[in-house]
Amino acid sequence: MTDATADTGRAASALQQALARPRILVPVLILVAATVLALLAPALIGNPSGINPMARLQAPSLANLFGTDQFGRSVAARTLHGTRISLLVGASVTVAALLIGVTLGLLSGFVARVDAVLMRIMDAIMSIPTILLAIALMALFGAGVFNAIIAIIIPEVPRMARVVRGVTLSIRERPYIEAAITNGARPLRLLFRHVMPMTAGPMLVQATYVFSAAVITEAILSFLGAGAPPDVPSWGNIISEGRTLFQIAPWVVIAPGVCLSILVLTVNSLGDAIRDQLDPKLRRETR
Amino acid sequence: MIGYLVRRIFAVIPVLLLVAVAVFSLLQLTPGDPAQLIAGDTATPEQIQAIREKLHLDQPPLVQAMAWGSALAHGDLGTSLLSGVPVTTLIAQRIEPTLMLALLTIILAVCVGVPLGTFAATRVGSLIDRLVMLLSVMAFSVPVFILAYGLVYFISLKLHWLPAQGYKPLSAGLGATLNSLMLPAVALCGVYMAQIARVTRAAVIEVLTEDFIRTARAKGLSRLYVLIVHALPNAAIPIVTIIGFGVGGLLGGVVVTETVFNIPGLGQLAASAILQRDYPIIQALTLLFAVVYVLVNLLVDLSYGLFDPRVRVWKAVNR
Repeated sequence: MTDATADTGRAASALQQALARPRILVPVLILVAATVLALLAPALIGNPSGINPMARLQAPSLANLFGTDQFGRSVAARTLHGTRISLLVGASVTVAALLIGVTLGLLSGFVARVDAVLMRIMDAIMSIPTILLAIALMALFGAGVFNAIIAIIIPEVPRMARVVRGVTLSIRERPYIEAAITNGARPLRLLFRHVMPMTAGPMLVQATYVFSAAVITEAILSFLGAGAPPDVPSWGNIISEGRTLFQIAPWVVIAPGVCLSILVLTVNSLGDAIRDQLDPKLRRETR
Repeated sequence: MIGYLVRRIFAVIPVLLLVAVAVFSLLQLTPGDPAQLIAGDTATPEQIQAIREKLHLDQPPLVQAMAWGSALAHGDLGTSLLSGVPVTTLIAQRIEPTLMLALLTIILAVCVGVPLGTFAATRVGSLIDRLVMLLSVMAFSVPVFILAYGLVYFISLKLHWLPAQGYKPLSAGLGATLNSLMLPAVALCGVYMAQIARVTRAAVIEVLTEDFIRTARAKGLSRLYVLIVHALPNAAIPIVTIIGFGVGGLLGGVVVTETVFNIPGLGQLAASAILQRDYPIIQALTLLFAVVYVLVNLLVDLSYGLFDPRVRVWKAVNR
């Protein structure tokens, strides 16, 4: 029990320290704000599918902050609802990639026989460009948000597993691990109690990159017509619907495009900031 | 050196085989009846049966794998479900725009990214350095189709400098081709250039702290000479590595860019194939792009030996 309380204490103070840095605090606040807006979207703003033929393709005004599309639907309402899809996909993919990737990475780092097989499979998956693999999977699964999440998890898992494996390999050689083994720590305790906490930093940084990659991939899939179905507004399919009218009504594309860029920029900067905070030596390196 | 080359080339074969197996198993590992999935919800039982026979889905997986593998070995990538045209023919018809776009993008990204990163590295912490880093974080975060629409809006629609859409084949002259591909290449190279600039900056900063740089400066060589002749070649390995890795993102980006700019290349072929659920096309393109990626990275691996003789004996594991 004392172990656990000490851990919570340490985690809390680390969190406090991290949030004192504007480079971490600002992106976190933006993400919290986006999440709150996304959750409250149905209450805050009208129906994203409300068609109004009288108000088609109106430029942004006070009544329609981001203008209206070719069916007279409010671009603001659609974009806000799109936030839900992007955050949902980003969060689900990140959590799943963490769970699967960390398990595989720890296993690979510790069991040489598993490593040989698993890492070759991971290499093969990583050889296929992310978007193409996701497209191939979507061609099989069919459009849909849930299917898109699965299709994005598969290419992202190896990217997480690789990072965790790398850290595990270097941790394995540390004297304290040997000490734990000598003290009779069982394999599972060894992995989860002594090795996993050490991978937390790189894991967290990688998680932010997985999140932003997932958001972009979902937007691309929806843009290509293979992601969220037309009745579910997502940034990708709003842009896709707006592209034919881009020359006369660019605002339909601008609102979701700017939101998408801001979300990805926020998450990427958060990742960079966490990385610098965890290890100033890494500051000069990149992903 | 020869031994190193041969070892590296042989090491790629199992990866290529695994990629082929992975692409093949996509269809097998999908839950449910793949023929039903490809045919869609509205298909009649006859249509589903036809797809099943066409893709040999009515046979045991091992037989399917053998048939697919043997066809592959004979250069047969299957036929389009919709048009019945062999996929290899479709690829041959559409490879030129994609190849030109990819080449132009790589050249652009390297020619801008490397100097930008090097320049920033010589002035760490300065305003220019911060500006370059900020730009690279932004370029890294703006998805390719957003950047593409931004460029179309300002460069084509407002300024009328470059065409907003379409592709002029090489037969119409290199100038026309480059003119039609300039905007797509700029859009596509954003992320790639940012990666290259960041890695170049980090690598050059690292090398500039080495003793031999101080020695070279001490014996009176100019800053620029030291930078180009002594620093850059020694920073080359991480730079060519990221150039190789970036090709993966580039190939994925091609699908989006070609759709935005209406370029009749392989990317557009893939994009239209998803909507028509023409699975053999997607399978073939996935395999093709993965093979290109693996081979580009093999070239990168081989180039290590060129930049650093030590690598010929001991390959850097640290990526």
